[in-house]
Amino acid sequence: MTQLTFLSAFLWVLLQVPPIFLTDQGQVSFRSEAPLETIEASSNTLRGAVNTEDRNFAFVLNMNAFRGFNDPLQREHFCEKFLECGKFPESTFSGKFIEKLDFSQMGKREVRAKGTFSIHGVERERIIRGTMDIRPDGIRIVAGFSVKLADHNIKIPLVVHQNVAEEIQVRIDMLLTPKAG
Amino acid sequence: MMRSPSYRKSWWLCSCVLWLGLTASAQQRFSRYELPKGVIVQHMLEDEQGFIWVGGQGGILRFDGSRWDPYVRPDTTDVPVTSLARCPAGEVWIGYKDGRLFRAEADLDLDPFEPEEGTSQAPITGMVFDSLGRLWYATYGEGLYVYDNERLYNFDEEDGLPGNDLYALAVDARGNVLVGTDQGIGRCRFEQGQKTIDLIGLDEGLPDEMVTALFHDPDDRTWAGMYDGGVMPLDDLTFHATPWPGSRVEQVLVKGEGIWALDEAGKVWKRVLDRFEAFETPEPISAMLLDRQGNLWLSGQRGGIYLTALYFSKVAGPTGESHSVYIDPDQTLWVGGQGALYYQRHAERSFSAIRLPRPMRITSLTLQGNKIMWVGTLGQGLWQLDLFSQQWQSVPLPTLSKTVPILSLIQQDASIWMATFGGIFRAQLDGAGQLIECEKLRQASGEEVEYIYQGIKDEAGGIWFAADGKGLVKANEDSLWLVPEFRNESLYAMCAVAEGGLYAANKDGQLFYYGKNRLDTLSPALQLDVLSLGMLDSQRLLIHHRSGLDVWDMAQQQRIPLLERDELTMGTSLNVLAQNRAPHLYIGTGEGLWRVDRQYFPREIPLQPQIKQFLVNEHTRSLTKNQHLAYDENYLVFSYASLWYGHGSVIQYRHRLVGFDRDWVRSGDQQAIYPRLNPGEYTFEVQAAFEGDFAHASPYTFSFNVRRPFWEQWWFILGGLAGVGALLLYVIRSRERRLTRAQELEKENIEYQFDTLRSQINPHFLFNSFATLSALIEEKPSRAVGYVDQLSDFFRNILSYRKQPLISLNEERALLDNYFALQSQRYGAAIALQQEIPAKALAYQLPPLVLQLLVENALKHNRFSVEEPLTIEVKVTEAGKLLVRNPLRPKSTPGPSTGLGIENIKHRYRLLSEKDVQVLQPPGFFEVYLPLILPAS
Repeated sequence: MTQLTFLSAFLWVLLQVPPIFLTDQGQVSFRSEAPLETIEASSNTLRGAVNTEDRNFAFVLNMNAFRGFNDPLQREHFCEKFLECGKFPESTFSGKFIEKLDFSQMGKREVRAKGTFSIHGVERERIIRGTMDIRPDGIRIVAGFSVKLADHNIKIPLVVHQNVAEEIQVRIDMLLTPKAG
Repeated sequence: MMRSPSYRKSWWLCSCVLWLGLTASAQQRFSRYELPKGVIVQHMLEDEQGFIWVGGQGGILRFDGSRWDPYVRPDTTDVPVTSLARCPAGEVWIGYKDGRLFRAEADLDLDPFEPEEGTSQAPITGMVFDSLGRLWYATYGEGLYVYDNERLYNFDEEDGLPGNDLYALAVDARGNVLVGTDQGIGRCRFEQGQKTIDLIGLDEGLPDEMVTALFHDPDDRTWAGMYDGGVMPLDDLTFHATPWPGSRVEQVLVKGEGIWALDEAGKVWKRVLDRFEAFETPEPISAMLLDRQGNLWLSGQRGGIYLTALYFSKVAGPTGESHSVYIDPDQTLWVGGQGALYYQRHAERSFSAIRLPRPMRITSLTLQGNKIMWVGTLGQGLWQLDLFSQQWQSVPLPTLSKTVPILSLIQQDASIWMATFGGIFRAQLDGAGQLIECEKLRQASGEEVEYIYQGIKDEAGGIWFAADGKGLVKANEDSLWLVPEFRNESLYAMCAVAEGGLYAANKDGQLFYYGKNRLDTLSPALQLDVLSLGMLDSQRLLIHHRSGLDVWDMAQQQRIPLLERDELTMGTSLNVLAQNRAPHLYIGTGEGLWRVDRQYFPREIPLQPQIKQFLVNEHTRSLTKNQHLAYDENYLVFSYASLWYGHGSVIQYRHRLVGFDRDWVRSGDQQAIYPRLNPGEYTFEVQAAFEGDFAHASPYTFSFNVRRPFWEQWWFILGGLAGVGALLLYVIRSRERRLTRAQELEKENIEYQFDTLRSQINPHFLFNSFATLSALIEEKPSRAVGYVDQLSDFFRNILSYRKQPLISLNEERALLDNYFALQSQRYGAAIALQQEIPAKALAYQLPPLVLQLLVENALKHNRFSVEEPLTIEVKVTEAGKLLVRNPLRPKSTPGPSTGLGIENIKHRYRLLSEKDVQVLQPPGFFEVYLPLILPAS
């Protein structure tokens, strides 16, 4: 009986997936819908880590990596004037999933990630809702949320007020795979 | 009179000999409501309007006192309701076990709360709105959420919350949000995105750290209910000395001095004085609610909903009929009951009883000093009870028979006043309380006043009596004075008011106020056998009458029954109501002592009905002002209710639709249906009143109109008419214009043609004339001169007529004569002109030179000679035509012709007149009939 218990426990440990899942090519895209202009840009350099044991997560995005925009000058403005990428090159979101997730259960589920969202050097507590798909090859997370520029002290000059939305829609899509080793 | 406290204490201790151990806890009367099957209530709420909401297993329902309206969650039906809250705007929010929140809409729909951040997966265990309008909700598993109407934030263990499993939620007076957990209370604030959480636990004085209930009371105190620490207010941590007899606290309610707690076992505990006592309930309870009307609602674990009015309860203790109730200056309550005189000291929990020396009915009581209780009876005379020795002593009155009932006793200095059926007596006492003498008082005139029903002492010390047939009697130093305004009245009951005035009721139940020598009539005859009167507050009188207990609202001029008629045996004793400055009024009835608790009595009776639902063509519509309904929105249903739960069954309703109903309609089902309303202006009015007394009922009114169909709208009709008119006008105008243009065109055309034709005359005639002249010059040169003269005459005439379209026959004839004379010059007797023109035809008109032309033609185309002259006839026919006739003798070689002639004439006539020129050729003749044209005017 004792042996059997040990054996099953051993097997269970063997079957465990590593607790850390990673990605460094998550996709991020944003969309600003203003009366005069719609701006879209995306990046696929989102780095992220999810610990399936304690449900903690951390995501980092290099703000210089956004491609898209309506013209190169706009991209320059976006990076230098609004987001001050030189000063604040990274946005981060780290925290913990609210749901008590069972990572051994394959399939899709809705999750809420509560954490600190930092962009333009201003931190805000956020709850971001998304879908988590636990698959044999890893964990796919898709989420959409909005960022109010004012919340993060991102100032838009009056001249382009009609060209940039006050609230930017952000979408992320990434597949995290088990950490090697 | 000064009393020694030690002495007072001593009699009190002695009197405990006969302590009966009666508890003082009140016994509530419950009304039971049946819930729809399958609903087990766990939460209750009163909304802004006063509707009662109940939720739990089986959904959420709204109750109006008679009907349950279910609100159905659109996605699923079997998730239990775990929390209810009222938002500042008045809507009701519902929290469910699956973590979802919904907002109740007017149309019985539930609108989901769906923030961007997603909804909770854990049961909602509490919802509150703070002063900033932010929604806070507690979950069992995910901690606390706050929604600032933009974003949702979460407080959990990681943020410092004592736990994620929250049992209870409340906002305190300072705006802190408190959550009850297994590890104490978390006190949370959320300002500018910053969370502040501090803990109230064992260290802070909480007797038990498992906080299972929180309540913020109307006096801004916050209460905690605990797993086994009972109930305590958070601002008074000494309170927990109150022993807690129950199990885990599920809910706490506090209002004024009343504290109720519900425990896990379904028991309700009420704090009485300094401890919790069981509050009797019909079945184990799952939730409690205190409404604004002074009712306590209880939901039973087995499915019943119970309602009890906190302001009216039976006082446990004195049994049987109470014939007198008295509160002495020390606030001790005395009750003359069956076989005993009962008393309860102020702030004591139970009654004691002093056995009566013999069976008798105590009808009046008054305490003299601190030792002697004077007792008036019905048929047993006057008694004295020594409170120290508990000795009873009958006091013989030489002037008053023992059989005369003594209905009131009033102590005043060293005297005792007695109100009896035999009149008004004053007993003088000595220092030891012994009777020295007893005198009967009369009016100054010596006249007697008998059958006195009640005597009272007003706030200023004045003594007043209510007398049969003599009205209000004032006792002066040694005589009685009848208040003139009341003479002939039979007053049955009175009560004194703080301002020195008094209220009185007569035998017909009419109410009066007398003060400052002025009488005010307060009510019509209410047709009640009034037994006693009491004051609820400055605007409301409590009327204790033979078949029940009513309130007279002076402001609303309305009588509000507190009981169904004859629900409680009231007995027959007069003046069995005692009141003091404490919030209680005591009433002796045929079924013991009852208490009216002023603090729970609602300030306002919400009698005015509310429209619960307004259905237009079977769809709920909100009741916005000045509603316009389309012509086909004419199937209307109004459901209404007066949300007075106290005694809802005594409320009667009537409604009418002004503009449709001619009269009020009494309705039993609180519904008005109007299946087919014609277009028009309407006002729906509904009134509610107790016992059908609508005289003072203020109606609820709602005005709306049903529009005419657009084709019956004045603007449409007007527009239509205008449109038709415009169209007509346009048609007429355009026709006119077309005609005018055609006419103009024609005229132009005519003028043109006419001018052309006319211009053609000249060369034509000229050609002929010159031919004649040339012949004349050749043949008869002497006459040629005369001919030229005539020709010039002729041309002058032609010149003068040429511009005229028509000339008179007279002028034409002259012209013709002239012409013919010219031709005669040429042809002599070979031609002849025969004219038959009546004078009256001379004024008729014809185009100029027509006759001349015809004659000219005749000459041109016919042979003639002196032997065979050509006679040309010109005459007016009987048909009014001008006939030019000549014999037809065509020339073998026609003379020179311009090709004009007849055609020219025909043209000219066609343009000038509708009548045609007729050309006939009867055998041997050539005839031309010319129409004569009537002169224009």
